[in-house]
Amino acid sequence: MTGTAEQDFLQLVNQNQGIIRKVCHLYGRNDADKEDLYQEVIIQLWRAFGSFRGEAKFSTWMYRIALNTAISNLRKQSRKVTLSFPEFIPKEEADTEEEKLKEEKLKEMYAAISRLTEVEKAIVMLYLEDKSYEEMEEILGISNGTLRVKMNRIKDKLRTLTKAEYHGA
Amino acid sequence: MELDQLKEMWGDVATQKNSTSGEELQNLLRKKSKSPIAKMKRNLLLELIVVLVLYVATIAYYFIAYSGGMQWNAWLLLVIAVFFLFYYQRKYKLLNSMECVTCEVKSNLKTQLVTLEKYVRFYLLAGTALFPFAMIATGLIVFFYSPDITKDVADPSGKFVWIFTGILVLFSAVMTVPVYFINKWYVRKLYGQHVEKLKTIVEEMNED
Repeated sequence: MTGTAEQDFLQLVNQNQGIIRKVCHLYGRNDADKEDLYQEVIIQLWRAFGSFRGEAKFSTWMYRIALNTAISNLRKQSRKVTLSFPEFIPKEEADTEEEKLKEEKLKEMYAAISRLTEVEKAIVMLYLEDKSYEEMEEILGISNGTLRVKMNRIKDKLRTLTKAEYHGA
Repeated sequence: MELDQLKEMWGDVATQKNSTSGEELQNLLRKKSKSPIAKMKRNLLLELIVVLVLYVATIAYYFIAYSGGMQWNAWLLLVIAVFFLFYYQRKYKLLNSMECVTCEVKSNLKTQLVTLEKYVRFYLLAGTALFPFAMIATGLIVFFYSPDITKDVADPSGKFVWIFTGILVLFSAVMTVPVYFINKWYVRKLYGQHVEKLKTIVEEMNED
């Protein structure tokens, strides 16, 4: 590919890096795994960039590639799983009781999400990204109706999981 | 906490802390893919190079160093080498059609599952079928190469050659059975976990 194509690609990736980071955060089992996945997503995006015709939005195209790479890449099961939290959760001590409680609950929610299946994680990720069910369908290939049913089930599952986390299960 | 509360905060996920610079991104573009399919392609290419080098060298040796009947060994090896080329070409074609990262996730995973199952079946059957041919070829080469035996080959009735070939064919046929099971175990060890994982995901995506 030409140097201009490379520049265009780098610019688009730079603008949308958050998408890749979030996918890696949800699917990576530990920091090394997340970096490997990040690298792999970039390589896959670059390889496919020549065929990007702009029929779909760049972000939709990017979600497809990032999720396809994350879900279908067989990573070794034996790798150590370390649960880390995204950057919006303050690492330092929370100041007030209210903040502490909020932080605790966020951790519970994040721990619960990490226990979802790969497909459920993809749906949650797109839901958190505020994607419409139509866009989710375009990315995942699961029908709108099925996605709605699945989303309701996931919400119930997360409620149960966060309760279990709270009770130390 | 409800998922919707997390949604409100999700947009604030800071990516600046671990965002990659333009230069780092540019370097990433030069790196090799570590995806399972890319690794399989690289391994296949390496295997093909090793097989080609070995076969070409051996075939050339038989053509240059011998004349007459011994040159049949070279022809035999050439036939097996052609089979190997078809084998690698088929495997490479299957690997190329195994993924479509730009497709919808569900259709990509379905394609991957179907193609991987075909690949595994082909690996098992072709790998097992090639064994007796390779075994018979090796046996015959050793047979004709041995100077002690060559004297008996000169026997005008040629009886010994046929007895030897018969035993070789029978032995190869019997040995193909355990080879099939060893191959089956090996293929399962290599790809079994991935096939199962893909099946589970595809089933989950098909569920209402």
